Amino acid sequence: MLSYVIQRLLFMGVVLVLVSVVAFVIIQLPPGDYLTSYVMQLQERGHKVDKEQVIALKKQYGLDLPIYLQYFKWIRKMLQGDFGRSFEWDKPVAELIGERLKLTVIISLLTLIFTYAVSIPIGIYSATHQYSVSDYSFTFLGFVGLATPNFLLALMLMFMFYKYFGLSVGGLFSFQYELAPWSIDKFIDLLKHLPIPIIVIGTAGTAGLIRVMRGCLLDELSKQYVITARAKGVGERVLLFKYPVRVAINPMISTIGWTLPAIVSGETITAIVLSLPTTGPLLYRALLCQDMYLAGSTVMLLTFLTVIGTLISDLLLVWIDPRIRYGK
Amino acid sequence: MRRKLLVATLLSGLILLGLTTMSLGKRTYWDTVQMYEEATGNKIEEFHESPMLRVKVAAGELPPVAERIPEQPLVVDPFEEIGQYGGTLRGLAFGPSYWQDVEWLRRKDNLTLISLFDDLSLRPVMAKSVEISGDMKSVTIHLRKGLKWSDGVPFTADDIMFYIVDVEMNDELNPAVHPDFAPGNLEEIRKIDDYTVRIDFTTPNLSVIMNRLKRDGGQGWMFDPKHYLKKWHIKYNPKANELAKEEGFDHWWEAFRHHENLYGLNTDYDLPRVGPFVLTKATPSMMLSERNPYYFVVDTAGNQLPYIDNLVSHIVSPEVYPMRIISGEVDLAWIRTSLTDYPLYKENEEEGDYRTIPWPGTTGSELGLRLNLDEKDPVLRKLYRDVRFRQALSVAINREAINENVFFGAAVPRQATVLPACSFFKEEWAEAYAQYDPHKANGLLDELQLTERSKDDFRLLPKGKPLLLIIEYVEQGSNTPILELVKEYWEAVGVKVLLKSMESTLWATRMDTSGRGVGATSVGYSTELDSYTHPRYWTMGTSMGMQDSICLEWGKWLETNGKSGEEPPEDVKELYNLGEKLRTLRPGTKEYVELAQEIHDRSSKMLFRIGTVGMAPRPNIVKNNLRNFPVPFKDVSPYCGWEPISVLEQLFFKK
Repeated sequence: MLSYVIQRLLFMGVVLVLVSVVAFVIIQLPPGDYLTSYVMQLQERGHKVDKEQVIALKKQYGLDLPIYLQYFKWIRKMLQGDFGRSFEWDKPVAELIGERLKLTVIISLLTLIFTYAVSIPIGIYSATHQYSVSDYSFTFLGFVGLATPNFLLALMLMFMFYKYFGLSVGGLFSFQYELAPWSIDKFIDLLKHLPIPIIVIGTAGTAGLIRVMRGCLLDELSKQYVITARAKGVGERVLLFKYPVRVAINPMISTIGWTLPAIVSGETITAIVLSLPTTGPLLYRALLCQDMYLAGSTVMLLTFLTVIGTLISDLLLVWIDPRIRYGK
Repeated sequence: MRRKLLVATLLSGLILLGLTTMSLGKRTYWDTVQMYEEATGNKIEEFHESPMLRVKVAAGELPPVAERIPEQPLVVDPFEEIGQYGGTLRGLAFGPSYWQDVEWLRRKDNLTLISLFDDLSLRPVMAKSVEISGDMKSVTIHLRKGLKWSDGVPFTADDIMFYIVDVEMNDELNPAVHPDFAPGNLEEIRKIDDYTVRIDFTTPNLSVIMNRLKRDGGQGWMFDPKHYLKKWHIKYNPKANELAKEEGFDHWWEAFRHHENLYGLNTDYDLPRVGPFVLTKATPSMMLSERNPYYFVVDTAGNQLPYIDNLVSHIVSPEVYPMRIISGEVDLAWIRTSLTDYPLYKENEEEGDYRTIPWPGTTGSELGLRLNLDEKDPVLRKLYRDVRFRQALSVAINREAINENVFFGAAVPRQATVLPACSFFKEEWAEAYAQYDPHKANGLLDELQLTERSKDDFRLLPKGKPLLLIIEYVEQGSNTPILELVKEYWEAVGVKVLLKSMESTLWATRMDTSGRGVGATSVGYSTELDSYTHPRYWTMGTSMGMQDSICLEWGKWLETNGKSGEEPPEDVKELYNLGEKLRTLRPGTKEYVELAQEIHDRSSKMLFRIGTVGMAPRPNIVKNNLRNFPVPFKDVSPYCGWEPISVLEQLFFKK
């Protein structure tokens, strides 16, 4: 077991290095660099940027170095724990991501709980009442939720909440609470703003999970041991939860692995539309203007979380399902 | 339909008002208290300050107001009325860049030594007075005694010397010296005394002087807080490199630039500033600013400005932007509003409790098209360089229809040229080849021997090669709808068009290569000041693709004086020389007007840029209880941008 874990950790290292190279290259692919897009912005607004200023800026941002030197500079700093500075925000990247990470994690964990809390019971209900009216309607709703684009749902909900509940749209806090110290009122304000992001991001995942849960459970329910237990007089509820559900949950656990990075990327489109202060919009902006260190470091963070997440989910599976064992 | 009518009448009424009241109204500012008292006979007995600051003075944290402002502060007569202290101005932003509604005003307001009227005469701002010698080779700047930075340290000539000598001319901070201060141009800069600086140039350089002195927070200063920044500068602190490393930078100049940061968001909150507001906090979701207790401007009642205590800018996405405006949660919005949303803003005026003020546009043309005269293919190159081809393309466009469809009829169909507000303007430039005449277009194209047609009925080049114009542009603003219409009109006269939208950095890099297609971007440099300080834009003398160079090779030849590039035809060379001569003349003089007119007469005939519609207004949203917002043409001429006035200092919330 231990050797398996160590082997996995080694591979993780290799993956991270490869990803860092690929990420760096791709981020640099658009023509020009951070400066080009910055100067373009200035030009569009009618600000004349002289050639000399551009040269000075290039030097300031270290963009006059050849690409591979820029890469090594980045890696060297990362290994020392310095993730570089964001050109656009003029702040250390670690600070920027850190500020947003807390809220990202809160929203994502709540969304995760919401998703599982909704889809598992519905999935179980659907399976046990197969082909009933409620089964069909849940299926239908599920597919509709899956088909509707997230941002459309977000916009609709935003407008409805504004029109009918008078809620200030967008963001996680109303204006007056944003910089205020934490208090009961601020917490209540946060609770008022949370439903939309959670519902929107959550519904995307529920449809799929309902179907998976339903399908797996149906498989189990038709097995021999269930019929035997029933014949022996085990109560329906006990029967359901003690064996089939536990087995059907397997696929759900094994996918937790990549819910972790999905969490951090915070459903970017929804977050952009709703102006949520999470890492998704931050990465999006950084990529658009080639803010090298911010974009690269965020991508590395996501990769790191993905590989860790996959490892965790593999270990969880071992723990839950006694049929799985690694090594001898 | 009704909406369009409403919009069109409102805006044409405004334009009519503008055309009849071109000059500024009553005088609204005086350089010093002394001048104010002499001019009006009123006296300013004592100075007052905001209650927020009075508390601090009482607690001993700040000196009394009379000691905080200079001996001779700038006096402003507010547009509407004397204001009341207090309040927080709420604005929106799309990101940390400074081109945002409230942030832009904060960064640029009154941070200049001088400012300019729309006739380009000077008005001192931070400087008390400025003298330019008769031969325009030297300028003497007199500063206000007692003017202080936001941390209370006096602003002196040292700060100007520090910037020009130790920053601009320092090799590591500025590897390429700006031509303004290059040894061939700058003769000497001298500190006469603590409050006087004199700069001498080798040749008459009025446009440079004006451009430099009015440099604002967005482009580069003429001064830096020496007392604060010198510890990061290697000349004053031999340990600057160590200090930089401690702060997480590799070199002293990186740390210096971080603390000075002129171009981006500067998160060094301690950096002393001179404007009415000082940034106190910047997070990824908002930017907060507070009043500057050492601001050097007072109103006619002796109140130290600004009236408002705080500024806050919330960062939102473009989708949320109009929603927040119509729900009344924003006090001021002007940069990111678009004309297409005008009906939406008007509809919700009552509910949101704000007013919509259409601000006249200042672009020579919202979208101008430029053929690539560097085209490698000789047949195409000959065609593009033939003025008749450009004439044909120009008259093939129905500008009225574009105006109606895209701008509700509120913009002005015109050729690509300077604004009518320019002192030397001639209406014929705006009308040149701007009529819709497809018959004439067809005639010209036939004359150019493009008579063969393909099976799709598009014109072919001689020898049967296809004629295809690829228009490259960035999808933003109203570019796409305008170009779709242009494509229709050009194809109607048989010229096949392919529209190619691309991301802005790609467009920028492509514009610098000779393989570029037809460039489509807005036509700028159309105000009096811009056309004076950047004549090369109109004389085709630029070689920077990003500045929409007509022909990269000609531009290179002209800039390097023949050392590289391709030699342009005689008329282009003549035009360029005329443009260079313009810079040596003083605006307002007869020679200046005559020369400018000659330049634009020729430029108009050469028709290198094809304009569509220009001067599209933009809605400004102002909350009803926010007063002293300038009325265009009455309080300020919009053609100078916002430059002559500071907007933020006068705004106040009326209780």
